[in-house]
Amino acid sequence: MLQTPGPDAGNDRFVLVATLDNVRHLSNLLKAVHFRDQATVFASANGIRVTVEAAKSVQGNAFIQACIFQEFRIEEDSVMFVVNLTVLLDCLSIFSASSLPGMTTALKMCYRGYGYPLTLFLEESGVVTVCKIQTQEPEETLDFDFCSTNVVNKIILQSESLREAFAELDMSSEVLQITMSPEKPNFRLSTFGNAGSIHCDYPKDSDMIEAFHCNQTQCNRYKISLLKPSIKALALSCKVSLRTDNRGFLSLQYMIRNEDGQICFVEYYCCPDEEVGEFET
Amino acid sequence: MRLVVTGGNVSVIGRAIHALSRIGEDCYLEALDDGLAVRTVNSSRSAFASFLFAPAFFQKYDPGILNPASEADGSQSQKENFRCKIGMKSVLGVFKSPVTLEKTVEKCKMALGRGMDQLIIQLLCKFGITKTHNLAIQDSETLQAVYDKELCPNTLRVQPKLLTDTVVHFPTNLEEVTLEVKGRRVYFRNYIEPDTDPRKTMQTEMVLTPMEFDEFSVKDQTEITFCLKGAEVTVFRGQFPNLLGLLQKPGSPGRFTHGLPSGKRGCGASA
Repeated sequence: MLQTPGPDAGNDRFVLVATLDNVRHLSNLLKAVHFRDQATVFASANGIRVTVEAAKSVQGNAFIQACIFQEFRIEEDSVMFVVNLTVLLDCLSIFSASSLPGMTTALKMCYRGYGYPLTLFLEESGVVTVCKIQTQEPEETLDFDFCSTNVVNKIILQSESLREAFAELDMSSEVLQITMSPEKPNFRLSTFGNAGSIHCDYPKDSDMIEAFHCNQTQCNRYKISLLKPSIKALALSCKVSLRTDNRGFLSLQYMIRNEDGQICFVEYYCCPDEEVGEFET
Repeated sequence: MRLVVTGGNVSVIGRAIHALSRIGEDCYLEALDDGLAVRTVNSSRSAFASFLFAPAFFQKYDPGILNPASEADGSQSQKENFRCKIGMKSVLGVFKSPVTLEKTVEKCKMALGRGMDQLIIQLLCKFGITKTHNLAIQDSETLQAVYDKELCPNTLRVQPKLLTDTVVHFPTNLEEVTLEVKGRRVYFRNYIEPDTDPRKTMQTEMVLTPMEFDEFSVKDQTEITFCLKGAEVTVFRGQFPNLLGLLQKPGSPGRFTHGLPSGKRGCGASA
């Protein structure tokens, strides 16, 4: 006789089971990389990584370590699938319209493996919603080949000081030019828009700069449209690190503290704009 | 030309520019001996607004520029007053959020770029952060409204809050308002086209007595109709006290001026 499994039974059939008391610990991080519909989810014993890419030039990664989850069980070495991030976020926030302040939604996320949908059980105040989201063929994500040994310059800043600069970026400029140097200006963000050029300078001894390791003057331009989505991650974070390597590739790492004070990371990689023009100082 | 503004005064300039941006698309700057004039005019040239910041408003006020053209012909280099026209959007970008300006900006420096075709505005903020805006500017003539204060028989001086409280009773989409001064009363009415069926329109009228005004000098009964949008943003929403209105007959410009107690003057005029 076939036994119909109850909602809690049959956990052995799932290759991935993850539960959270507060779904916002996941949804806030996913919003920080939500600049395209398609996301690749990669799960391992360490936790979950969600990757979003655009134009083969920019990549956003949200990391949620296994220890953030109340329960995290993975039956294989790694699990990878592609899912529609917009749909996933809509499901995770399904109770938000009617939520009273202080109420949290609990989440149980389950995945049976290749070909199966991603199943979400969401509960708030005794009401349970089940969502099944189709998964797609996993695709190779870009490897920016960014390793610490090739890092030329690194700056760690309090996010507060960078937030205003990024919020007021002149979007009529096609590029954002980032200058990092042991000489003045130590750290400069520049735009070249319709109004003229705008430079935002941070001295290396500013109270907002926690660490300043610049050995070489580097001046790189990045398409502003590619970096704009990172503003969401910046808004959530308390600290940000900017690193450039010998090719001018940019790595932005955002330290985000969730409601329970736990730390998670979001990372953006961006390749420099190929057109090398005159650099205005 | 070098100007330095410190502390809360930076956001005052920001608020003035925000007010002007609701009227015109270009901002006219002129560094006069008696202060920095920041002006604009709307596209139909029917509304003009000007803010004048006296030298005392600045930490450093050096308005002159050396005219290189006069050096070329061998004569003594003439010191002229700085004057330019700049896109409103460009200068608004410097003063995007007056609230943030108050919290973070310690000093604002303005200077003319070496090529004379750029205005450099530098904001020195907390934590050593410096923001430099190099804005393209154009030459311009002095922007002035044509009116004669002496021809105005009526003078009203009032706190802007009274006018804001009056205007709030009108429909939000109201375009034109009629102001009538008759005897010892001031009437504000929404303007209705003459051939409109009175049964199909709502008329709102606010009546003010001389007691509500700080100065009430009415020699001629006058009724004028003007565009509320232009007046509202500069005049009625102004955060500066002591609004002075000088009114003439219809067709002639009415002039509204704000005065500040410590000698700094902002003034707006609408025609």
